[in-house]
Amino acid sequence: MKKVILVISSKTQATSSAFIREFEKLGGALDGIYHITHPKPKSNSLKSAFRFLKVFKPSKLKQLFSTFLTTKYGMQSMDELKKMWDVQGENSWDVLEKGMDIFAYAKNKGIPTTEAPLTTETISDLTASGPVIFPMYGGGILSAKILSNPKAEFMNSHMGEMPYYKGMNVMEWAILEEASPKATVMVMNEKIDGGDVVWEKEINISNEKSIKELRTTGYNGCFQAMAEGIINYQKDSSLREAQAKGSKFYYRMHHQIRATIESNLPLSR
Amino acid sequence: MLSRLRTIKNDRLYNLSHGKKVLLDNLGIVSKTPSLDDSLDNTFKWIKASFEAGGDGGSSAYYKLSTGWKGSYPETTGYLIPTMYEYAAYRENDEWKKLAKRAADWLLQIQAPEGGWQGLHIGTPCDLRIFNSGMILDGLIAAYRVENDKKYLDSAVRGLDWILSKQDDSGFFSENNVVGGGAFDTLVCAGLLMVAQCLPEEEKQAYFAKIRKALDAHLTLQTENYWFKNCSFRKDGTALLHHLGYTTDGFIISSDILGDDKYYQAAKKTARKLLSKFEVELELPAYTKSDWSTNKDLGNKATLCLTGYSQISIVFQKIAKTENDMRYLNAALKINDIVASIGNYKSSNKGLSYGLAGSYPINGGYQRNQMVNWAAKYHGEALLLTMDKCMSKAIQS
Repeated sequence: MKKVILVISSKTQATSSAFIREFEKLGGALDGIYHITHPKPKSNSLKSAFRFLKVFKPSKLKQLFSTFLTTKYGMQSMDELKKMWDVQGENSWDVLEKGMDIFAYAKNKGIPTTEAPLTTETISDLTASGPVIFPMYGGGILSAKILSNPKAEFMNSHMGEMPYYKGMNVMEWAILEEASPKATVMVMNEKIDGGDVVWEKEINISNEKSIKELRTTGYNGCFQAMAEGIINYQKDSSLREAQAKGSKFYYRMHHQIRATIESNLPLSR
Repeated sequence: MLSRLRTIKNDRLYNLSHGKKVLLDNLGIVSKTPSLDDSLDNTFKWIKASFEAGGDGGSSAYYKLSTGWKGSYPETTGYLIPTMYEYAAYRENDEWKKLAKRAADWLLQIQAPEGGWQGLHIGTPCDLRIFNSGMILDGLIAAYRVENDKKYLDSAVRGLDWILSKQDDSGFFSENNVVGGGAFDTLVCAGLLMVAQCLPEEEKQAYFAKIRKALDAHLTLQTENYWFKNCSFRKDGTALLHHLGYTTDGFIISSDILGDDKYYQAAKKTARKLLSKFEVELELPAYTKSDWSTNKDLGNKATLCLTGYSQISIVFQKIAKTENDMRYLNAALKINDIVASIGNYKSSNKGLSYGLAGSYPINGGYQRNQMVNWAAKYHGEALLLTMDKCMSKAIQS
């Protein structure tokens, strides 16, 4: 059976803690935890001095002047304007409870841990004894080199049905289009949201009164889908299927449209 | 240093209102995003100032930092007319209806005996031009429909006949046209169709056949990746967003009038590319190269073409409505926010107050250092479309 090594980017992150909870509920057992580290470049006093001097670069001074003007005269920068469309207050760290100390958990359960930068060498070491499934709760977009290891399958869970809801705010888009929101577990490849699908699970929406609450439900649906998907995929690798044709990509939802969705909540009403 | 001092002198940047506008634009600072209603009313305040500046019934082409208001511009006064009628209806304010009628009457006065209208603005000698005349037809048909006065239709038919008399055997309009014509002439076709559809059936079909020939010719300018060739006044192989707006909207309007989906599909393919570029990069550059990459027109930066932005918002909204695809409306709302925030600039100088420049920042490559009436027209139209009942219903559903 394929091993499962959880990939995390922080020792206390909410998403990986929530996944562990769902995975254990279904009787899953982790074979390892891999914490991706980002080694800081060595600094010396000369470099620090140069870094200090950079504050006085024309672009920095321009930025300071802009901040002064926008604050004093109630204006905004173009960057601030575009940030209006970001997913504010609805990221996993905004809506989920703080995670547990995962290293303490690993120690308690006797799960081996690895702390190393994300490199092909590290992945080769972790897959030396056989194929591994990596549920990804850190690492971002993976390079082609990392993805090329045939013994490694990097899984992510997406808050939308594939291939019809790729991109951002897809649960909200599905609700707007009166489709059933679904979580999809995929084996990552070089394409954004383009990997083979191993599991799909409906996200049950009922009494959520805000987008924030919807997102909490959505994240929990994703953790459950990831846990179910990995356990079933360990037993039956034929579950892995290429995505169907007819993909649709969505982008950050404008606040006016999100407000419209919010005004129609709860959906059970 | 000397050239900078020259710029300060020529563009009168020592004038506080001018200097402040240029400074804020180059710092990337805009006002808070106003409500759509406020932005609409403010935009029409600037449009009113442009009519007052002309004083002859037409709208001044632009307010230039170096020389102030220019003469009235027949072309853009023409396509301002339907937008003014729409605004009059939206605000239930007859003042705008009167202004629109006066503008239409002015266009009748300055129509050449041949049937066309001059290019450029009044006070600048210029030949009769196909593109400019085509844009005026839109206004005359709006006046004909609202005022129910045949003189506007008669004038528009004379314009239609003159334009079609200049059509090449291949279907293009290269004679008497700005830069020998281009993809943007699809909007001329749309104007011609608007006139033809007011005529008796037999006459209408005869005109439709000729206009179809033009539309089919212009379809050949669309490349394999749905970009358009000959879609800029510049001959550097780039496409200007403003002209991509003319081209795609021209196809959409034509498709609607002719009931022929192929023109709509052509426009939609280009719009799909623009949607993706806008959403990924969160901006659309004024000029794109043939592979859709950004062309930098201000040193190492790309500027925005505000007219093009609003035109693309209009195209997106039309596609959203046709396809019931809210992704297009989503992007259009973002574009409206950007243009509304940039235009939310109050000043004691009427030429600058709530106006929209050709470029953002104002010293960008397209219509450098001038507030143009066509940017105001398209922003007004984009907002009116957003507030249209059908659109609101789409948002609500």
